[in-house]
Amino acid sequence: MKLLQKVNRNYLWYTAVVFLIVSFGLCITLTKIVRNEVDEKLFLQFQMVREQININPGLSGIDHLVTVEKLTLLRSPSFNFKDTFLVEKPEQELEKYRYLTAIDTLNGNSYRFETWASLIPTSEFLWALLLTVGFAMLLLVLGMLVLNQRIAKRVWKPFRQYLDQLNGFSFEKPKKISLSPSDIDEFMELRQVLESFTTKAQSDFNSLKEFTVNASHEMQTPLAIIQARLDDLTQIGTMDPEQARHMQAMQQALSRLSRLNQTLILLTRIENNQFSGLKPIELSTFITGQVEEIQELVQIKNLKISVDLTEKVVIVQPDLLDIAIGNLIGNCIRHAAPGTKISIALDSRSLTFRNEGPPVLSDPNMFFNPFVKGDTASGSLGLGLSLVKKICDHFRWTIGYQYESGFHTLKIIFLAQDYDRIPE
Amino acid sequence: MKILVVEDERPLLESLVEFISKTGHICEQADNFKMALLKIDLYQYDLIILDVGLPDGNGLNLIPILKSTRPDTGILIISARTSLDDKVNGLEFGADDYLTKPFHLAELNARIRAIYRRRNATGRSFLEIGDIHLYQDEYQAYVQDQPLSLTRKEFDLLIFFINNQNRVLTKESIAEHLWGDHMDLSDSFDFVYTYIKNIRKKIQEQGGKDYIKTIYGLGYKFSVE
Repeated sequence: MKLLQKVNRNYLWYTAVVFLIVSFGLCITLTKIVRNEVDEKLFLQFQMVREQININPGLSGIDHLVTVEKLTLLRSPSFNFKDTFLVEKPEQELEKYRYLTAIDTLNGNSYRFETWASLIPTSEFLWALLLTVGFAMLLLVLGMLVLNQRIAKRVWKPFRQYLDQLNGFSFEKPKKISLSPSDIDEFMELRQVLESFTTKAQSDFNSLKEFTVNASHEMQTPLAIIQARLDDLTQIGTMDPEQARHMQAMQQALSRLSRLNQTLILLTRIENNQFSGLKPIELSTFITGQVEEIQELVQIKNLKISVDLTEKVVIVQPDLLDIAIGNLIGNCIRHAAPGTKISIALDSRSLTFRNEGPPVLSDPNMFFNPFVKGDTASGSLGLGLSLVKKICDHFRWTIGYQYESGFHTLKIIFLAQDYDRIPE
Repeated sequence: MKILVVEDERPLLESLVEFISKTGHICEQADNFKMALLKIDLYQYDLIILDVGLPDGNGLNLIPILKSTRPDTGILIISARTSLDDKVNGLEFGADDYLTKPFHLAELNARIRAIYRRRNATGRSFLEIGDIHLYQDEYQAYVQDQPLSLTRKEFDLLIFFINNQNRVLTKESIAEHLWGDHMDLSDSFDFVYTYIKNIRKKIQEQGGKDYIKTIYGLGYKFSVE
């Protein structure tokens, strides 16, 4: 729900409650006042008639609004006001009336006086009043809504702008966020907080990135020392099987650590956009070359490889392309079931790698995240596909994975503007 | 060959010097930029192994000096930074090759040989060992004068073995030599095994001796003795 909607809703509720209370209160007080007024009038009429009888005991010539009846028995005086319904002559409808019955003793005789007055004008008056109040309220509310809407649009404008700018903000871009000033104190405060916050976040992010790269680089030399010394140790001819076993484990772990470190450096460097040297590359030739490189591996695993390539030129960094394609083909070979076929297809829009194999257990959506492996038992680093993904992102290509009826498919969609790039 | 190693990390420098000396080269060392400059000025080296990050200067700055005063000296850069990083710099400056730390000593040896071969290419590059002889540029190998039909990678591997004879080569160093740094090598050891099996078979089919020994738990060793 929008802020304005929320405020308006509360406001409407409040108005409705106020309207009800006011109307109710008005009804009660006005009815009371009017009734008192009517009662006074009835009493006055009664008193006038009483005076008349007092002076002239005959019952003739009495105001037709009051009926007087002489009682045979002597009774104590009393007044009794009540509401009643009477049938109105022309419409034959029941109408509300105020009715006064009084008994009084005059000159030693008891009389019953009855007089009444219609309450119709009162209820009509009440209705008119309620309508007026209601109309005024409605006008007020509508006015408020329109005004609120207009003011909100103007007042919240800086807020919208800030949101848009924050949306476009990226830690990775060196550009600082710049928010336009506003004449509202709260927004100025927000602006200040946002600006200092993003600047801080950006610098933290950058120093973290720098730290990662530096740490990885610093690790390379100690790793080189360990590797050199281990290589020397391996040359000792008199190693017994147990020592050899330890040595092998160390060599394997070291190799893993070295490659892990190098891949992390590479990932960070791609993230930092530290590659230059864009070149137009004809992909089909490039892929054919790579496929020839691994032809023997394909044969060793008793696989077949089928390529269906059309000419396609992309403008990329060759080193990165090499790593991406190498990893994609390597991935196919690694996961293909022995004796099956790998297919690579290239057209002007997309590049597809497909191999047959059992489904993977882990979540395919996680494949492109670092350290996620389809098969946890394998000695794979789990960085191959995240590296590929990072490179595709860098080239602004889209990569997706699909598993369908026994086939793993990795498909790259090229940048739309490169679809029809013609080989020169 | 006379080789100068420029590296500021003592433990690595010692290993490198020891290893290079053992492989039959004359090896000298420098652990800072100034010392390196001094040595280059005084002596003629066939090859300089150069660390980029030196405490008193960037190793890359030695390259232009070498290029102008000692154009015959080969340059192999070793750096903690990834090959894709300074490669452009180093190779554009005129270095012959580039090796990213950490590396296997066998790989270093292979690179040294390759640079030497490229720089001293007089006619066909010929290698002879036991009853095997090879022409590296043509990827031709013979056993007892019978041609061996080796694939490119098998040929590479054989050269790697010959350049590092009498050394135990781990499966890791072989895999990295064949497929580089950025390949996921999770099942490459099976491939290494298959390659070696194929090379042995091909050599033996031509009546050659099996020079490749399996060293239990460690790797393989090429030896003619």
